[in-house]
Amino acid sequence: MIAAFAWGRASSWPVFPRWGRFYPVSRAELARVTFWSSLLQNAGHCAVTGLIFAAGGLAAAALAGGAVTPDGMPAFARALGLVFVVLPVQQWLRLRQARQMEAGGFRAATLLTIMLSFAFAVLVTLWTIGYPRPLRGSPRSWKR
Amino acid sequence: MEAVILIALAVASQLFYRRVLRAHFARADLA
Repeated sequence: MIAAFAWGRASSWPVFPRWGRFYPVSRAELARVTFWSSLLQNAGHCAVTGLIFAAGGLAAAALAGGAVTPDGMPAFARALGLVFVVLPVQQWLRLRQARQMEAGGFRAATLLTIMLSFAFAVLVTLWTIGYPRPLRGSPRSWKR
Repeated sequence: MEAVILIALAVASQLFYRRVLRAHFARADLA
């Protein structure tokens, strides 16, 4: 009932200045809107993730009594910037796969490429914040 | 230097993505 109410309101309220300007949308406009909205969404996700990371680092430093300073924030910001490099390539692969599936073909190579690119992004992010450091060396070298 | 490379890569990637989206919506079945 709530959904029906909301849908009815959405279809009758003048949400946009001129409804006809937005619907029907041309294909070029659709591509443009998708491009800018995805850019905005990625920026928002980066902002939220960066804030959480910074808050975690500051909280850890505060819990340590100011004995340590949070480092790795610039490195993590650079890793977050990789979102804007990697995601378009992943989306390209994903659309390619969707087209192949629509044509009736499942290609393991495409799926494998997508999974490998995800693994690459995750590994680069973990490596940037120094995750594998405790896995190398002896426990003596873990504390700087 | 790293930041410059990263920004250049990101801009190139976004331009590529814009082209991908335009090609996708040009041939997509929107009905």
